[in-house]
Amino acid sequence: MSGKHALTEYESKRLLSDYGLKTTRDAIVHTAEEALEQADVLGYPVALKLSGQEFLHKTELGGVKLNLESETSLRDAVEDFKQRFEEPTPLLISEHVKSTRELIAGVTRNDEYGLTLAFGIGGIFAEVIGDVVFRLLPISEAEIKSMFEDLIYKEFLGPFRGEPETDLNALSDALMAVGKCALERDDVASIDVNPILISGGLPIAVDALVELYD
Amino acid sequence: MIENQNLESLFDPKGVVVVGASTHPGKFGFVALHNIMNSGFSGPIYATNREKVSLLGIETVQHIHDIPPQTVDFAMICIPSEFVADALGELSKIGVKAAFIASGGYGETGAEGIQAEIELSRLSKELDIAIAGPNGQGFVSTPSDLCSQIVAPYPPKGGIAIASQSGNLLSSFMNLARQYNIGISRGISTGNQTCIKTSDYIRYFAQDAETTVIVSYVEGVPDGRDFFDAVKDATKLKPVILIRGGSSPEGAKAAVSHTGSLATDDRIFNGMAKQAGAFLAKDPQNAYEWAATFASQPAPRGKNTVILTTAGGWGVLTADAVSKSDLHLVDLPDDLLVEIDAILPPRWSRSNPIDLAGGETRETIPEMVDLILSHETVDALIFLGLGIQGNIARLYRESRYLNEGIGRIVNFHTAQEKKYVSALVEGANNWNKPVLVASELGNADPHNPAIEELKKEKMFCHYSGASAVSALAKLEAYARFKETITTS
Repeated sequence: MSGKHALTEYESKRLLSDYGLKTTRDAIVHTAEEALEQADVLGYPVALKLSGQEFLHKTELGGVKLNLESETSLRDAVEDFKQRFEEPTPLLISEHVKSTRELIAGVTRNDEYGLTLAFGIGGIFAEVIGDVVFRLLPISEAEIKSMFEDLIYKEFLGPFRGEPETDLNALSDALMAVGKCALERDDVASIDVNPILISGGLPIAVDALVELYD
Repeated sequence: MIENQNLESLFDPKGVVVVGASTHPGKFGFVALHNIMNSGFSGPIYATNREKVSLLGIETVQHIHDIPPQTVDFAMICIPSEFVADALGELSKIGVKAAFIASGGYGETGAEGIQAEIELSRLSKELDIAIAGPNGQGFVSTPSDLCSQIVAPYPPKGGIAIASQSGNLLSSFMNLARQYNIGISRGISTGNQTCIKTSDYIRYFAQDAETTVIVSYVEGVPDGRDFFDAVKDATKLKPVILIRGGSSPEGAKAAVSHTGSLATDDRIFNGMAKQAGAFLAKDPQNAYEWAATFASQPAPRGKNTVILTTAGGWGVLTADAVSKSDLHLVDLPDDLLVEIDAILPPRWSRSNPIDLAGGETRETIPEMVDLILSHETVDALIFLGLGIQGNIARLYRESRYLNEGIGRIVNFHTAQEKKYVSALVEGANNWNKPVLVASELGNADPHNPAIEELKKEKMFCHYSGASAVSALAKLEAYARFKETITTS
């Protein structure tokens, strides 16, 4: 088996959005001035994250700052990253999505069954909760929807704390896009979209990690 | 993929040869011949043995070429693995199209054995012989009255087909089939699956007119995609129940992605099974219960379930199970309430579960069964409380005070139980709706007259109300699944 390398979050999201996955709007910046400029385009609040190959596990490194509501807080965030991470590193600035619900989707290659699509409850507790369902690719829309039914906590997709219920057609389209990317790109080794947030009932990918074969 | 035509020679051969028949009743070569002779197979049966001996009433032959060509198309091979390749060459010359290799000494033993399996694969193609096994316990095929296995028991005839990666687990199914009398069409111990794979058997069973439901026990699935395809095609035609053994709870080690570490073997197998339209059972008892239900009950037209019980607690627990399932504990329609009022004393529950509250007379239960099933809103009935009178009959029969008067009551209770079972069977047949019975007596007292009658009538006695609900939910789910296939 050949080696693998991971795309950055920015690259991963661009690749997946080419296949129809709705992702956050975001940009790569290097300085506070660039960050402020992009924030004006995106609109506050914004999220700022470390980018670059060496920061694949940026959450664990304290490299994610969410819900930055003003120029001051954004400038402080850039300064903080510069102080804590000596090497100059590119930063990813994104629109901040307000949501309480985090889902996960992904693709892995299994020795016995080939490409598999995963879907379930996401976020930092995804592995602990383990409410994730798998299917083989390719997959039909009806088969994707059966994944929703198989969740232990399927009420998670219903109306929730004042938020509308999840648009299951849109969610199905999002999963189909993730699957399509893996099916059409032979060099895709794995895809991880975590989290997909539900905002106004619609899914939006906030973080993604695609691994490609060298 | 193996040609179905050759699998026909395996399961429905015109004649059989046991290669390596033994005179010693403790050896495989004897047991195999004995079982084939004893099960009533009607075609010609030959046996080879190094000596020319008389065995179980037939004269053995020393060489395969002593058998007239084209008289047998199936061989049960019980000789050591080093002689098998030569035997296959000889067998192909007399027209053998299928063989089961019971012998071990293959891949399970190491590198040399793996080489021997590669050779088997080559020979199977070159000689056009479908090879089952090696290292398996054989198979049964009741439509041909063929018990070609080196273990027991031989099951009653029926519609359940089984391909099992464990021979002993196959025996579990056949033991259950003997206990409950809902029988087996074909059952095979797949062994090392060198040539014929589980997926080939599933494809064959899907097309097999003698089979109504397919069960398979799998451990490793070497070609998962092919297995998935076979199961997915099969479920379009008949229900498939899978049991998975040896699945690892671990995900991909050192996976960079969350998805990778969540991608455990169980999750992927479970998802695959669901996507293929199969049901996953946890053990043979569970799988047999579902299979027996599929094999013996009509498909429900909907989810509306009525529970009829002679005593409170069972009804309550079963209603709890229904409420947690995809079935629906239907509210009794007004016209049905009025009709039931005319049969039962005023203290009856007046809701579903219908609790007779001890108010039954001689004909109450048969009348109630027919009345409930006759109503158009009712899709299925679960009956609880069978065997109570039979239990009393047993108590009296074993009583030191047994006399003529008590004996009359014994006979009455026994006759009542038979009447109830007849009513349940006739109800299911007349109204073409599933009728399920649950009682621990199925296991606890197989000689209870109600349980004996159920067995005679080939109606399964579910282990508990909850397990009956689970089985009925599978019937209902499959009926809906079939609708989506026929409408899409």
